[in-house]
Amino acid sequence: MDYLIAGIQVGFIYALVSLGIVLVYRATRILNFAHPDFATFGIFIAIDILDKYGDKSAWVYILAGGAGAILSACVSFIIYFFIIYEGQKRGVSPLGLTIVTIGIAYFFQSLEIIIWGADPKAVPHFVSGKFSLMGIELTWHFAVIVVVSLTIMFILYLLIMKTRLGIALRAISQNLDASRTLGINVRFVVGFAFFLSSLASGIAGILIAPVYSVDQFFLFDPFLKAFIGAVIGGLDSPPGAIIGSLIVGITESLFGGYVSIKYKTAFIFFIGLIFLGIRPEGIFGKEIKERV
Amino acid sequence: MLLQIKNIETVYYDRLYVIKGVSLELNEGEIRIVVGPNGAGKTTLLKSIAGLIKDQPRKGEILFANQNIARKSAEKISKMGLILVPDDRGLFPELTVEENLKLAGWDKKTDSYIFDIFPNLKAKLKEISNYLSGGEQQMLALARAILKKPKIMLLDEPSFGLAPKVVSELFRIIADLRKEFGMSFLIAEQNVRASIEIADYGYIIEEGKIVFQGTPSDLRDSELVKELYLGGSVKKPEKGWQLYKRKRRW
Repeated sequence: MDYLIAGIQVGFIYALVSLGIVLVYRATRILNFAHPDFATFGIFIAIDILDKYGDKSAWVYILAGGAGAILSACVSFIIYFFIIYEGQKRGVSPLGLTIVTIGIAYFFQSLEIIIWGADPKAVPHFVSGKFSLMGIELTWHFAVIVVVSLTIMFILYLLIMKTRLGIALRAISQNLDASRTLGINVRFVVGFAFFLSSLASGIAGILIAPVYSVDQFFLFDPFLKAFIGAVIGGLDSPPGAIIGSLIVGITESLFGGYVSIKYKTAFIFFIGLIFLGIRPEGIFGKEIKERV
Repeated sequence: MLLQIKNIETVYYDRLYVIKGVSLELNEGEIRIVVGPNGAGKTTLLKSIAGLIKDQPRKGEILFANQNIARKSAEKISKMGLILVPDDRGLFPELTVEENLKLAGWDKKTDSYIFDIFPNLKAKLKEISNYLSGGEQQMLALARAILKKPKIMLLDEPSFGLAPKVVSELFRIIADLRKEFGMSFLIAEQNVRASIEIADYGYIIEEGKIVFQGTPSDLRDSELVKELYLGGSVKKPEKGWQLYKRKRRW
């Protein structure tokens, strides 16, 4: 049961990260490899705030975490607005822009080393203790991760399904030319997708920062597993990404607990490869057909 | 003159000349048609005007309300009041009818007039647009364009794939829109018989060039139109080189 709970916990973190991957991919067909680095940048800011206002009360955590996540979202928006969009405008292919995001990732990793150094930083737990639910012992950290993740998912659902900006975002992913002829501001709307994706990942990073030691690469492993989750669920399906990520989290934890902790990551990638072979569009994704 | 196109040239991949020096005009409240076979350049012409082909037209001017809009972005051109309804209708297939309309600025309270024009859409607001019939999809595409309150609508093969009854209904609506809202239309069509009924003027485009233009009666009297679109050839049967030339051309 402990392994299952740990799997659900990490699955929710992957789900937040993979939602960000899917949001950007749907709107642009770009795999944003700088995705974890925008979030990490915000987390370093949050750690600075925590260090400065060191009483470590819950409010300081919420404010520092919120500020960090919003900052990473703003950085992501700016990078799209001034770099990636310019590439799109000049006709750079999604693959070319995916490579550009790798360059941006390296830039941010180097910048973080220059500003904060290369030593890992420890983030103290913002909640501690356990409680019992229907006879199952759970940590408060687990409860916070689940509640915050579900809340973020619900807010993202409302934003994307119910607001005009969200409808425009879905429209762009379905028919770019028609969106432009309707006068939709594609640059701003896709920038908004980048903003939301990094906001979700920033929050995910802050939620798991106490479990990991924070350095420039600490979100890279969750990013790769979230990516596998998105592949399993469907790269163009937000609900699919959530379910795929939960599958990855639970499988990883159970495999690590009962089979081999050494090969648990390799096993996840193996599952990802199998899915790419038998159902490349994922469980909930749609088959992509392009006219040549 | 609301729209004046002067000698434009559109080139794909730096060497494929699709539009070769086309000039045409459109006055306020007018309906003009551009007729031609598949591959003549009708869609490219409309997309070039609407700003949907990057860095094109390469040459020439497109004056819309006395401003040169050639090579401007589609978003800007749309905001200026020139909107394209493409041949695939340009709908968002996974969005509902209501969401499609909302993107064009539809407001439940103030824009109910749209259902006076397209009553069918009212009952289908919650339906996914991809599941509508071809005729309903075309009506939705038009409704969405009308909501943007354009001065000019470019329609690319609006009758494509529609039943004859729906086609005549569609052209009746277009004529009504001109009368009621004073909109101008530039329509690319292969269905000459239906579109000529509402047109004020027409152009025949062939291999990227305007090869004939005139009023509807000029078009009806033209041997070219009679022979290729209206099915009433009065010419002697072609033989040899003449026949080869025509077949290659069309």
